[in-house]
Amino acid sequence: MALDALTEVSDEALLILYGNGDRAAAQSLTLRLGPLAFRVAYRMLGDRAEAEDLAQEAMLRLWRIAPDWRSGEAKVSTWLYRVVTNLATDRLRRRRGVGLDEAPEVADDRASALERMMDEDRLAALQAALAQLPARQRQAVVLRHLEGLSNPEIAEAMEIGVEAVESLTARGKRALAALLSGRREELGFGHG
Amino acid sequence: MADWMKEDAALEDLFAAARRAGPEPSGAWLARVMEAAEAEQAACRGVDRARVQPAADGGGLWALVMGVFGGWGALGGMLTATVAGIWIGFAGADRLDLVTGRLLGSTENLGTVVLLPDADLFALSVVE
Repeated sequence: MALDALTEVSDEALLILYGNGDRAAAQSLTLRLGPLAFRVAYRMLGDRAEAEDLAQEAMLRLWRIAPDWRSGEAKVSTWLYRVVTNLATDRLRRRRGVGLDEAPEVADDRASALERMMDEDRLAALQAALAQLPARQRQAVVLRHLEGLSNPEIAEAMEIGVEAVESLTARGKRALAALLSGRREELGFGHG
Repeated sequence: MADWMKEDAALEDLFAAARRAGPEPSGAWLARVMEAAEAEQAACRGVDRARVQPAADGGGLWALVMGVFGGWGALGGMLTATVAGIWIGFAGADRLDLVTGRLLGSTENLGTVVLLPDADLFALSVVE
């Protein structure tokens, strides 16, 4: 099937076409979902090379599940969000060697960390602040505020209840605001 | 405006800016992902082909047909069902006793079948 004919086809239909050997479906899915996987991996890890590696692993899992994909069970994108964020959480856990959910909500050295970022732009500051959130809060904030998912979609991706999502995003936002508050002027805070 | 509202609005602003300038993967990375997708597809096709292809040591088309239907046993069953279907079609259901009568003899006593007669039970207890 021609690539341009697939723009209106759903992710799930594309995945089934891919499983049936359609080469154009492979290309279309890569262009559609590859950037999503990379973007979320980068938001979670804050490192480009590591994000590429992780997103590639997630995409490989997608290709492998295609022949056994059960239609109607979950959205393909939700499945991919779950795989990417779970893989990222595992890496962060290995990186730090502690239970991330037990980590302090805001790191003690946040002021010095923010000092080191003085020359970076607003987005780099946000990324650095995100990196200081506990993994589950970071996951919820990235999916809600940067990927624009609804709370029920996040609940499905994170395999938790909607109320837990609301709590994680609220705590995550409060922690981000606290982390960024020292840079109000620079980041545009306080101009309202 | 209250401080927390200003802060919330500023944070929303920052999120919106981040959404607009989301990090994009490189073209080389996308090419690698595409390559992996096609390699997985090819590997999958290879497995499917191996499932239906006849063995390399011979048998040809007949072996392929046998493989698809599940071997001699399944083919025998299909043949029996086909012949029975043709017979019922020609003779009608009321003539079925002709078949059962020929194959099984009298069918009057088929309701009581003794699978383990008393005599055998006695023999077993003696052996033990």
